[in-house]
Amino acid sequence: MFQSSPIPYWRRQKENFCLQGCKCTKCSKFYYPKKYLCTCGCEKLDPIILNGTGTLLSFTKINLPPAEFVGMAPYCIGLIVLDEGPKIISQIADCDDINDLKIGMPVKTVFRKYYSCGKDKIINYGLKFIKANSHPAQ
Amino acid sequence: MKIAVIGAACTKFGELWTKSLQDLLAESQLKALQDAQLKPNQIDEIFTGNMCAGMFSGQMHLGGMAAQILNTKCPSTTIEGACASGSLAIRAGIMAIESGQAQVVMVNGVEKMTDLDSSIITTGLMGAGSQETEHFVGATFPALNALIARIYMSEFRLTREQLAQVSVKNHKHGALNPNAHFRREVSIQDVINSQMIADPLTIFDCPPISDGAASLILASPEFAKKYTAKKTIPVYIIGSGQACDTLNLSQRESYTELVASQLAAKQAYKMANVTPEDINIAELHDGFSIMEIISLEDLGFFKKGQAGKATELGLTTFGSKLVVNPSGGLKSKGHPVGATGVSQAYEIVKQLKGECDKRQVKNAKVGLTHNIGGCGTTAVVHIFAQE
Amino acid sequence: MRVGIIGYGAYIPKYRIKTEEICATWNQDPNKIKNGLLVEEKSVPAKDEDSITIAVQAAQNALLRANQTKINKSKIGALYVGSESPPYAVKPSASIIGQALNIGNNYQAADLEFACKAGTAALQICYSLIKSGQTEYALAIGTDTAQARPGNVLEYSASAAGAAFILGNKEEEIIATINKTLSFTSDTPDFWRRSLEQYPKHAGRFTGEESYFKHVISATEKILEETNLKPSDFDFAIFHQPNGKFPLQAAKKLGFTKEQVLPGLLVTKIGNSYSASSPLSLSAVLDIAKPNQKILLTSYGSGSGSDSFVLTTTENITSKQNLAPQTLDYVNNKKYLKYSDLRSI
Repeated sequence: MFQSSPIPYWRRQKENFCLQGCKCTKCSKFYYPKKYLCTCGCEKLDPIILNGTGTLLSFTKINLPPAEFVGMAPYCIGLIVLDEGPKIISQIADCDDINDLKIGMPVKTVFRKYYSCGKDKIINYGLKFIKANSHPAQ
Repeated sequence: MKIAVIGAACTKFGELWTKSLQDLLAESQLKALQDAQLKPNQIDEIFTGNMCAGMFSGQMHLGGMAAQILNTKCPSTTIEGACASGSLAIRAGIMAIESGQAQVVMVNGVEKMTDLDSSIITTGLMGAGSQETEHFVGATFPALNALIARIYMSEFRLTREQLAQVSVKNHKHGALNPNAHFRREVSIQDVINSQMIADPLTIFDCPPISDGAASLILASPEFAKKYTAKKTIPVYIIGSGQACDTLNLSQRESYTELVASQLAAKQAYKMANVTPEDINIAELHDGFSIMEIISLEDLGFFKKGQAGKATELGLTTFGSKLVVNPSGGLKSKGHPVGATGVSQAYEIVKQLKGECDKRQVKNAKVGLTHNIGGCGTTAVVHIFAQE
Repeated sequence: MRVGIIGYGAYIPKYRIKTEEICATWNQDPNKIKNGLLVEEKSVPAKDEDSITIAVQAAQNALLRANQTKINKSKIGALYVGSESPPYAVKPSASIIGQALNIGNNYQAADLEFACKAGTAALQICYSLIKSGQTEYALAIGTDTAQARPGNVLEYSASAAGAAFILGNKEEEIIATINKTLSFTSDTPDFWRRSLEQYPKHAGRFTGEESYFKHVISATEKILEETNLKPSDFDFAIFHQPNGKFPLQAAKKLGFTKEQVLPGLLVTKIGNSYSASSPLSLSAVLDIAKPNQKILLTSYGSGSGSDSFVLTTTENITSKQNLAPQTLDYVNNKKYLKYSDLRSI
């Protein structure tokens, strides 16, 4: 139901498209997604676009997807720690073989499709991660 | 704390095509009343744990349904905390009695999961985590647990075989439980070679999709005193603990322990004035095999990193001083989400009363239930003892 | 006022399917197809890629080369994207791309369609907007995940890629000046797709002489005449590549050499990426061009039209070439699929 509404998706455009998190104005801690109250107690956190680079902490490959992702399976999920500090759970794109992934691998964001609830429904885009090679091509 | 459990009931767990959500709730409520030999009008308050009835059956307001079944007008409330809903309902019941608001409380847990395709169930269950950041990226519950498993296995050198042994043990126990969803033993090779759900977790490392319900009747010590004059000796809840950690798995500090479990256990042990060494039987939340490994350590039964070895050595099965998941656990008994917490309590109560037949743990004196919601966002621990 | 490219970027999905693989499915002779079309393999998108995600990738590379920290993305006052495979029939790709690039809200935008030349049409519009003083910076993108009916000859070449160009008017930023652009347009029904149809149709051999060649040659001859240049004045010649043979034949007819065409000839390795085709070849040429070299580009879009450009690289080009992955990096970063791996998009 809510998955196919365009409105929650639209609200989170900056978070999903641009990796907008926030930074505490008191202790400078970074957060993604946005936080309402910093652990230091400060309530004033300013939005900030994060760099999109980080390190892979863990990963898995999903064979049994939820309904919205049935056409996309199998796909890989990763737990990534971003360079600024916050961690994020996201998909790892272009990953056909799970053996290509290693804990500690550097990763960076790419803009991809996530899902659509139907041929007549809005398409949900967002950021996924891929291996960040030392060679400039992905 | 001393809350008497004067009635307990549990339906069969499984793919119960002919039973609706309401049928299951009614069955367990009425059986519990029968077990307690009480009438509906003797119930002061009802709490019903459930996670997904709104999503899977379009039915919210289960508090109303529970009261209607019993033709009662007493207060009746739905309690939700993902997979911990059942234990949270028990806690609500305890608090109602401790506050003096009620003398006799019925606690239910119910879930109907098999009417829909498993991909829709998978979607629904992601509501236990963060919808915006985990559901949106398609990170299913098996995937989140697989992320944890990979980190734990890497850090503590837990082998695939040791992890699989959790499922092997629980299926062995479940084979002895007439109410269990799965009553077939499996081998380590069966587990490892079965369908991969989210690498490295196979279908046997993951909870089944089950229907079922369970109910308890809780009573104040005063009521129990009057009651026990006529009936059998009840079992008591002597400790209760609950704690929370982050909803977003990405915001956790550690991935090899559940801090919520540790805090809840600490509270419950303190309240009950017992230590882990005093526990003979435990119904732990083995939704995913890795969760039993981590929980054995969080609850203080084994040192950090040792639970895999302990499981391999058979230190958590019949014949050991601690038997974990004698019912078969979520793995083999089944996991109708909202019912699980109450069914764990049902097992401990039956064990302490000596009514478990082929799976009876000898000399069971003090029992523990451990129930988590999400990937350890909520943890609830209860400790049970005989008089 | 001088107007030119200040940043460019390409993107090609990593998946490929070989001509032999498609032939095996339809029981056709791979040698005949390869020799006829000069297409060995083509790029196909991943399941989570479409013409929008490809466009974003290409545009991000263009921003890297334009040195986005200096130009201030919010000064991009126009974004035009050309494609035959937009994910929505109604809802612009341009605004999704603009949001993904985070360029703010102060820009004009639209999606364009003119078969394979929609990308160069975007270039022309952006060039004109800057030349007229309407905006300081503009972003033009050609992107496609081209589709062909399974079993049809177009299946061997219809591929996926994107190329993006940021245009500006500051001399110290321009890496390739656009000296001149013009078009040759007529109503020629050689290739079309009706609104609710999934796959295009074409008029067979009619797509050659009266369609591709007439427009490419007419546009090129006119631009040479108006700039008073001859083929030998150019270092590179790019012609639209529906297959490997047409651009070489067009070059020969016009008096260009094979050596001028080959650096931009990508179709043999990645197929025809439709709206991205000529733009992608331009990006491949810019990757290797030296300062003060001349480039002739003539695109072709069925229906029909050709956009022709004369460009001259500047001293600034060398320092920009390695700021983002190069076109050949993407051409060579590949993984082969089986026919059964393909999903209809």
